[in-house]
Amino acid sequence: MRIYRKEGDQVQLIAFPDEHVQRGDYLLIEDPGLAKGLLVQVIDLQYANVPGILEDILRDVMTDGELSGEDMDPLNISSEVDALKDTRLAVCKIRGTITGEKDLSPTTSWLPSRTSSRIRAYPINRLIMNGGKRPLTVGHNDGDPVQIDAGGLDGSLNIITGRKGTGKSHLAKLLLLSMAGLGAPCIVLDVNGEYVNLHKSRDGRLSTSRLTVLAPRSGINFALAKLGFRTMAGVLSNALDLPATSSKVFSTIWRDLESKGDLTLPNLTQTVQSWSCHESVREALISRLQVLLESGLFYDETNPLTEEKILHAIDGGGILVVNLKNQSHTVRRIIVEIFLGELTKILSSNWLRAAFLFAEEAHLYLKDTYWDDIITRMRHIGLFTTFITNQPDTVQETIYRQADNVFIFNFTNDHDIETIGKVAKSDSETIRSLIRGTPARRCLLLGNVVHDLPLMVDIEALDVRTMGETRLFFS
Amino acid sequence: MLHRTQETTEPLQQIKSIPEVIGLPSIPDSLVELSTRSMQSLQGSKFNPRPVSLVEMGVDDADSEERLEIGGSITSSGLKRYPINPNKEFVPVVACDASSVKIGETENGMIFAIRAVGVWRQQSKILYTRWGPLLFHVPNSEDVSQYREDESRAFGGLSLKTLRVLTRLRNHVERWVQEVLSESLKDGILLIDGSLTAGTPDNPAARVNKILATARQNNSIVIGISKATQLTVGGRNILGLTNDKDTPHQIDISSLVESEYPPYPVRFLGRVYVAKLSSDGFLFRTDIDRESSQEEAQQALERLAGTDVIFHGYPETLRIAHIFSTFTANEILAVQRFVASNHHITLQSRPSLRRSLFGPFGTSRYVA
Repeated sequence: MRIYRKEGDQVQLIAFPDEHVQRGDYLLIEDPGLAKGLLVQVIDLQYANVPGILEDILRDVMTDGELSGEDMDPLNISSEVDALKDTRLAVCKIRGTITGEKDLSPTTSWLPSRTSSRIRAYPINRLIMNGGKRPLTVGHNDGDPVQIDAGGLDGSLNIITGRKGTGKSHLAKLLLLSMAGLGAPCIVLDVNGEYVNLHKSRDGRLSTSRLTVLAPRSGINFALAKLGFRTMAGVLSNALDLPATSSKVFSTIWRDLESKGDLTLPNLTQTVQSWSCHESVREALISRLQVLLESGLFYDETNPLTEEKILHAIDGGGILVVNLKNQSHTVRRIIVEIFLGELTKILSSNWLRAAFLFAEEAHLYLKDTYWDDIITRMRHIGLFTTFITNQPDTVQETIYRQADNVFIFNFTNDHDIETIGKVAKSDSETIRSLIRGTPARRCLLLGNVVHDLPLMVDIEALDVRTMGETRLFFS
Repeated sequence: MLHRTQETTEPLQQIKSIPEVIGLPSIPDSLVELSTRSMQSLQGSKFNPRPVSLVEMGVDDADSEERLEIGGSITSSGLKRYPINPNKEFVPVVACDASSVKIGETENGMIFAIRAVGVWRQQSKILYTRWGPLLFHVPNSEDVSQYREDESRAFGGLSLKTLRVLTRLRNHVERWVQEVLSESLKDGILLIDGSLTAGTPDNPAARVNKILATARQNNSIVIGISKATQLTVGGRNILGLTNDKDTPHQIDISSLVESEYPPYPVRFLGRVYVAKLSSDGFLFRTDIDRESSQEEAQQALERLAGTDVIFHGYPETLRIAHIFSTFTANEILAVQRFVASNHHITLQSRPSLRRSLFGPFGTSRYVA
């Protein structure tokens, strides 16, 4: 390979057909005179614009039809012609300067010699792990295993996104199992019920993963008294859109019943019906309490799911799957509201140092106002969220700007790519170039976990029951 | 093109039958060895590759024909036009062409590539064979002592001016291909690029005569078509003698042309015509083996017009031969890469004086 030109933060290299190079590869342009090298990443491959190539191709086309023949080419120069036709232009982004063995600095204010520099593939994996203490194998890159440091996910806001069927849930499960394996408490908001068999291999064997699956009428059973006023007020106003005036009345009734030690959902409903208030307030409260009664989430308030039980399920590396499959939009919102409230209590009480929340298609159950809450308040108390979505425009722009790690699978739609391009962890040109045309299971890693060196990774296969595959008629 | 003839030194391989062009012989070993030896002298030297740009392409392919001014006019000379009525009866048409191109300069000479093509029109398809490219390092000096006897003979044993050597080398290759094709073609028409005028030291008549005779033995006829000519009648180029609306026709101007030349050394081995092969085409100087009768020549033109596709008055088979022999910019780069990687030379780009002095006004050699 040879340096052709540099423009801005891009370097263009000429690569001959026998030189293996593909999008996403890291190359080191070593200048022996300066004893340092420019680390660049190939973001696009084009044909080199060789003079006269059009004439050559037109002449070749002539031989496709009724014209054929042979070349008596004793010097085999036609192979050189073919090589030139296939010569590629590798468009690369400058990522930094390497001095010594693997000291990377962001300096890019120098130019390597165009004549004496040597260009070679650079094993980026050694920079990615960079002495991390909690290796987490995510896949491989050109045959070499890629490990990231799980510490890069700690305290972070993460996004996993990509087109349907490209491997988002697969990566989420890989991260989930790996994090749990490292002792991290994990909670999954599972919209499609695809995490419920995570502890089973494809042939049905049980793994060592500690998995707890909860669903309405199957472990999810709350008691008003245990949830407390704050959580229930949140449910009514955030999940069930109770107006502020009604909330004040609800607050008074709650305090009254709480003082009597008689706080159950049937009692609350009965009290509201006899409470002296405006009819419209009563109507508003009764209709919402009726929804709670019918949700089946309060069917036995004598044996509820408590913070202690939740803590027990996730502490020390357990995975708690909250199965939201087949639930209405309202019930999902109620459940999520309650769980976030409970987690807030657990974390605020310092019963847990931190927890990792995996939220699939969060727009289906999270109110707009909650996004900011998750990335600010909850993050500070130790709830670190990973959003998983195939509709990138459903995630708020502020999330992209503040995301610490982004895992992007294939997208072809320009609008989706435009949305993803707002990620602050990389330039939009890199994202646009690298994710177009990537095969399923190949992912672009951005952010802390790769030390801001964008990396293409073929995600590791998992021997677990995915249950996330689309049910087919013609199968 | 710089087409000249010269004596051949390589015995031609005998072709018993040729159902397809694919069976044609490969380049003679002696020619390949000549190429190899000339290039071996390069080892370790410096090489200034020719800048490749489309503007400058083709400078080595400029046509050059003998200049001849004939007084008076065709009308006053009493020459007649004869219509060409295309005859659809199929006749095999074979065409050949050769090209050379400068690849770059060395400290003491230049490197050229030469390639020749034969194109064979059959009833349902067209076949071609390309020979080369062959590379030659031609020194600037006139020192012939560095060439072995056979090489010296190949160059005609004359003093070696670079361009002349190149011309001779290319003619040598082209005539060799013409010989191969005249041997192979039965009952057909052999089209060559250029005239059948010979007899100068650079263009000896014996080799052309041999090609014509071999074709005759095989009941074939040789037609030379010149894309450009310096022949003028009454101050007008012969190619501008008739207007666009004329139907296909030919005018035999042999007597006019021959009367202007001394009997020696130039020899007109063909009848010289001005021919228009299609209504929408241009006029071309067309030479046809003079040993054939007027009727045979007329019949050959009519069968050519009826069998070949005539593109703006030019036979398609010969056009393909030209296209396939011409070097593209990409091929020149490929040859430069081959030379650099196989002959251990140091690439050295010399500044272009033309560019330095004249900037954008002097980048093309076409700017005079």
